Amino acid sequence: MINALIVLFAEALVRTAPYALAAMGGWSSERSGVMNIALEGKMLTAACVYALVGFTTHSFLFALLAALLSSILLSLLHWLVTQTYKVDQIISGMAINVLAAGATGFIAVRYLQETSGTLPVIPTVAVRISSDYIWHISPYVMLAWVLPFVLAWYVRRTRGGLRLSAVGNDPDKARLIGVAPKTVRAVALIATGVFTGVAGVLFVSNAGRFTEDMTAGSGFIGLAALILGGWRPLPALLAAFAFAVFDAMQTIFQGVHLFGITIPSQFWQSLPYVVTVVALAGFLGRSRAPAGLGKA
Amino acid sequence: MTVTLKHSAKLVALVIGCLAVLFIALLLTGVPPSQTVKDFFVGSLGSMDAIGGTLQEATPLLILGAGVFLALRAGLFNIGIDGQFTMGAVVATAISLKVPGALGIVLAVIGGMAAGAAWALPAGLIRAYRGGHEVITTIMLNNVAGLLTGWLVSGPMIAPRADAPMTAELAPSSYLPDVMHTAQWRVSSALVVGVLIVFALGYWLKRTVAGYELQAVGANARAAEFAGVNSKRVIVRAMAASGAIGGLAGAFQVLAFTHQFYEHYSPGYGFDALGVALLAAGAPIMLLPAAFFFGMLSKGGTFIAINGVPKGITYLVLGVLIIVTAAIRYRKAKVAHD
Repeated sequence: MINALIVLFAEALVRTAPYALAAMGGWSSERSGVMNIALEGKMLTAACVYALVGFTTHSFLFALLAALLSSILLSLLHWLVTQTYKVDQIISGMAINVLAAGATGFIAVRYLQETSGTLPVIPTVAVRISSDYIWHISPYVMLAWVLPFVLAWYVRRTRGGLRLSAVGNDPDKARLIGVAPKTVRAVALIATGVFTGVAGVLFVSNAGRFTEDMTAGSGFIGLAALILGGWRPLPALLAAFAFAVFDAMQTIFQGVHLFGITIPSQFWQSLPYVVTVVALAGFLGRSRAPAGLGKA
Repeated sequence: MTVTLKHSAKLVALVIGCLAVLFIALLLTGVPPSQTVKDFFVGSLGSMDAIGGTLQEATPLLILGAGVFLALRAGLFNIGIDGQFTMGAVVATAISLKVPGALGIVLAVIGGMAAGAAWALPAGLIRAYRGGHEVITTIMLNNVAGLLTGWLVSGPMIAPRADAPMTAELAPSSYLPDVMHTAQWRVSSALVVGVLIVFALGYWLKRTVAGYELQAVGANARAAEFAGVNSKRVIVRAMAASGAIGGLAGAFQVLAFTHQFYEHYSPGYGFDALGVALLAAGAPIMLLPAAFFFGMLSKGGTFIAINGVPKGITYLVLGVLIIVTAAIRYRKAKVAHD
């Protein structure tokens, strides 16, 4: 029993990573006032580009750089379209998700169907926790756990962080004190590109190959974690961890009968979404969305 | 004047950039672009059969587009139409499997609409009374709808001896009748109802007090509130009505076309419907050509896929189209503000 709990905990720690990274990507964007429902698309694109470049060059470094570049570019497209062309941030986000689904589907069918060899990845640290469970920790996972602490410090204690909050809370007042929202948001969205890019790389590194829609909604779970965490890095990390626990439960309870009924895996999978709706309904404390979210 | 000129130049740059991306993608397919374009039109409009297919693809998009359009007029983004469609479809299937015949069709349509409205209601309530953004709630509810129906069709509702998550097929007496049916050509009554909905919506928005109030809330909720409109109630009702239309599209999809429900039932209709509503801009009547065009993209996209052009390319076209349309029509701030 104790052993099972330790495995659950260890597994949840690892599974937190993509959600936390996506949530931090969303945090950076939404703190600056740009609504971002395109986290999923950026993750998927980075995963796809990593596979494409990794299989071609056999270098994880090139693959990683290209993947991050792709998600940064996609993020900057969101910036360009919403800030210069003043397109509604939701329309832009939806469009980017569709562009990403289309482009990665295209690349997968055209270039990634007959790949040979193994995908170069950053080696993981393996720890044997129990007789049948080996814990794999990659640098990406460690980054996912450290990043929210860094961001929490950054937003409170640095000039850049305060500017970020100022723009996100009220872009017009920020303009008055000489902070250009457009510039701050460009930097924030580059950060979004990096964080979601790492999340995508994490997916494809674990799987060893790219498959269509492989991120399977993780970007939206990351968004849910961000909202549940009240748009603050550390609570968002905690929410991501809670969602990862649901995930791990799903694997552990697979086919197990509890009080005579089998809990379907979809139950655990839908928990993050249900909890988020309940939170938005105000049953879990008041909403703390940045005041200027969605404003020009 | 110079501002508008500068803005026009920016728009031209955007359009050129988008076209360049599409052209490069077309070149990368390995099939000559001229061939792909030709195939696209042959596949979507080239024969009676192709046109019939395009109309069938356009039918759910037209009804869903009308649903999104209605919400949009009230200032709401109903991204959740995808989940409302799915819930409408699964409830209609469950009812039709129990009650065959004309009575079953009526009950299935009513049940589908109720399911769609119920699935949209939390988003409306949370937006009106708690200030939670409807986009976020509906995204979450879409995922829940996908998982819930995925569980239903792999457990309680799975067809006997099925090896994939799908329900049994409906009895032919439960099929929604066609208004026209020849060897190469059929027009479903779902399409006719869709067209009627568009006209009714246009009339309702323009000629009734409720429609006027809804648009007043969409234009400026605060001003509408001062004019005595209960904007919260309007928002909840608009969302529920939009959801009911989404559920209706789901019920029709089962009764008229697929005759059964299966996992991952909606092939991304939510985004397409948003596209249809955005292309239609302010005029409900424009939903008709917009839905037809999206139907062409879907039908033509399937056809070019047979000749080795990945279907992903039609999503690229959609994404680009939405960005350009939105850049032209849906700028939030005034141009002069730049």
